Amino acid sequence: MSYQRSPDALHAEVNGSLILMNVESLAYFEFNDVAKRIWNLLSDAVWSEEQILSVLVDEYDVQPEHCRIAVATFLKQALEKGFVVEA
Amino acid sequence: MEPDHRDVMVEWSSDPVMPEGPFCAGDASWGIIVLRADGGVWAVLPRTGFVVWVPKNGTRLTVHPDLSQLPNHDQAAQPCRDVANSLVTGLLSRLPAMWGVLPLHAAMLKAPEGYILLSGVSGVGKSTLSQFLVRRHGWRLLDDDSCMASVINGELKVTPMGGMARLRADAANRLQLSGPLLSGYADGKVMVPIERSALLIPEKTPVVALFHLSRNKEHSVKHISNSYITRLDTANAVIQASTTALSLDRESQQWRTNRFYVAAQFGKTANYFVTFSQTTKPEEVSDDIEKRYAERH
Repeated sequence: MSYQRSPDALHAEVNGSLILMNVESLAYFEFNDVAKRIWNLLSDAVWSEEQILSVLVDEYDVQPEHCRIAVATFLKQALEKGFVVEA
Repeated sequence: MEPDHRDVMVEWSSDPVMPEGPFCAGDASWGIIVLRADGGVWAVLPRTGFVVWVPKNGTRLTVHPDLSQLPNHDQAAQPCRDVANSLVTGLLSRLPAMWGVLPLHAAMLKAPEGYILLSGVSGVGKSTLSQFLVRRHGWRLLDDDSCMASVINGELKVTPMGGMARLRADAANRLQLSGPLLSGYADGKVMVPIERSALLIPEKTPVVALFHLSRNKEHSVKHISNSYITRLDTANAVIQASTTALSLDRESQQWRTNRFYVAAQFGKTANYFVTFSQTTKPEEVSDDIEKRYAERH
């Protein structure tokens, strides 16, 4: 499965936090560091879950299995709230 | 250059109309109900018997007799006065939404180091606290009800709408202020002097703090402390600041986008949630607001 940013998602960096709002649903979301990194990856390309996982495991000192759960959880929530869409 | 309220023209027409279209904003308690139409919106003024056509440019309004209100038209109503009140309190403060600017339901004051906004619904105490801040702490009042904001090249610009200062009669007595009694307010309001020179403000406006007023703790921000004045974290500050926006069409993508980017800019500064209940003394609340401001400057 591959993902990209939703065109309905607005984002702004506020005091170091990344705040998003879906312009259709008006849902708000605050991203943590890992979510911010995924959001940046999705800025200019379509990424698969495996590709995202591979970058994060390289960049962060984290067990691949823990990272897989974090990525899957993030993508599930971001999909539900309309911040990312399946490509 | 975007329009301002000096560009607004109101015309009266004797042609009756039947306003139609999907509901897009408003409430009878606001004094307007807004219906979306081709090329603009209809602002129905409940109980006055009139409706206002607001074209997309938002500057040339036309007041028409409203056929849809004939069955419940109040014969005792005073149309001119009622329409004027509804225009001022319900419609004009929302018009900047048609100009690509975000209208805010907030009083605007100038403290020594920058501008302060006091936001909240009608009757929450914006005017009262504004007057106490002016008289007890020497702040200047620019508008006690509404202002407008935009983000241009990453810079936040906030301007007062320039309305007259209105104050509840009991608060005016407490401050030993007097002025003409205004009609159309259930709680009795008087007009009080405002320093017009204060309206001359620079283009770039540093807003240094927002205080969001509420009568009770039931609100959209969760996990606040028991104190009646609480600093909000960044995410809650952005969400709370966004509730300050007024609209003429809540479905408008432009309005929603403006609202988000203005709220995000407001989130960069200090935001406080203030529970201003009937039992809290305005002297104490205004002193605490000044104290919170002074702690940071």
